[in-house]
Amino acid sequence: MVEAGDGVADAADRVVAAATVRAALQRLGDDHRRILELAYDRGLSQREIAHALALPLGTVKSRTYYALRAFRLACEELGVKP
Amino acid sequence: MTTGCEQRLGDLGAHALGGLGPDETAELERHLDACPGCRTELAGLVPLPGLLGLAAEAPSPVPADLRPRTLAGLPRRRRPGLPAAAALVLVAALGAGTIVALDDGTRPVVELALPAGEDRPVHGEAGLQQVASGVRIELALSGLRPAEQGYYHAWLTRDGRRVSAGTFVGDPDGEAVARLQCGGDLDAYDELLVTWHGRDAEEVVAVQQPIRD
Repeated sequence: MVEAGDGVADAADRVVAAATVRAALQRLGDDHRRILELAYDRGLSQREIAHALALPLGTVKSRTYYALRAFRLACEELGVKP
Repeated sequence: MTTGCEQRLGDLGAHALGGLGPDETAELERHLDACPGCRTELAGLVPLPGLLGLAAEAPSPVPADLRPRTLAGLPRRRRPGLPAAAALVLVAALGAGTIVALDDGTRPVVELALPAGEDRPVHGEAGLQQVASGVRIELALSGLRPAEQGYYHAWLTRDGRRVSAGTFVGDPDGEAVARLQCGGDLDAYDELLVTWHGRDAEEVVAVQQPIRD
C-alpha cells in the first residue's frame, strides 16, 4: 500500500516492484507456485495444504521451503532484493 | 544450521509463512534458541512473505475522476437510446457488480491503533479482517529494528495460546507494511501480538494489543 504523502515516484516504484515480483512468481514451477498460493494467498496451514493436496505433511513442508528458496532466487535474478 | 538440521528446513519455510501449528511452532522456537545456523537460515526466509504480499497487491485503482476528466476532453456526442431489453441487461450487470463491490467493502474490519509504550518503540496500526480462509492481518508499523538485526513474528492469541500469522522484517527506515494471515475465526482471538527475534537475543514483545475493548 502506498501511504498518503508518498511521492508519485515512490508509488511508481512500488507498482514496478510488484510487477517484477509477480514475474518472479511466474518463473516458478507449477508445484512451487501452487504451494505458495495455498500457504500465503489462502493462508492455509501446512496440515491443511497436506490434506488439500493429499500429500504427506513432510512433503508439503519441504516443498514450501524449496518454493520459498526458488522464489527468492527468481526475485534476485530479476533485481528485487528480498 | 548444523548437521542433523536438514529435516528442519521444511519447518523453517512453514514458520516464515505462519503455517505451523502451536506445538510445532513452540518446538521449532526451542530449537532456534539453541541453533544459530537455523536462525540464519530463517533470517533469509522472513522477508519473502513481504514480497509475496507485494505480488498480491492489486494494480493501482483507476482514479475515480478519470472518466469525467477524459470525457471532458472529448467532443460531445449524443448517446443513442438503448433498447429496453438491453437496458435491462445492463442494469442487471451493473447491479451484480455493485453487490460484489459492496460485499467486499462491508466485510467488518477491526482496526487497532498500536501506540508506542515506555519500553516499546514499535507503533502504528493494524487491520484485522475475517476472510474465507481465516483472518487477514495488515500491519503498518514504524519504530522497527532493521532486518540485519533480526525479524518480527506476528501472532493472534486465544486463551493465552499463540497462533502464528507469519514473519516480517523492518526496512532501513524502521518501517514495514506486512500482510499476513492466520487460520480460524477472528471472534475467537483475544489479542494481537508481535514479537522481536534478534540474532542472538531472547524474544522481546514488540506489540501486545487486545482485539476487543
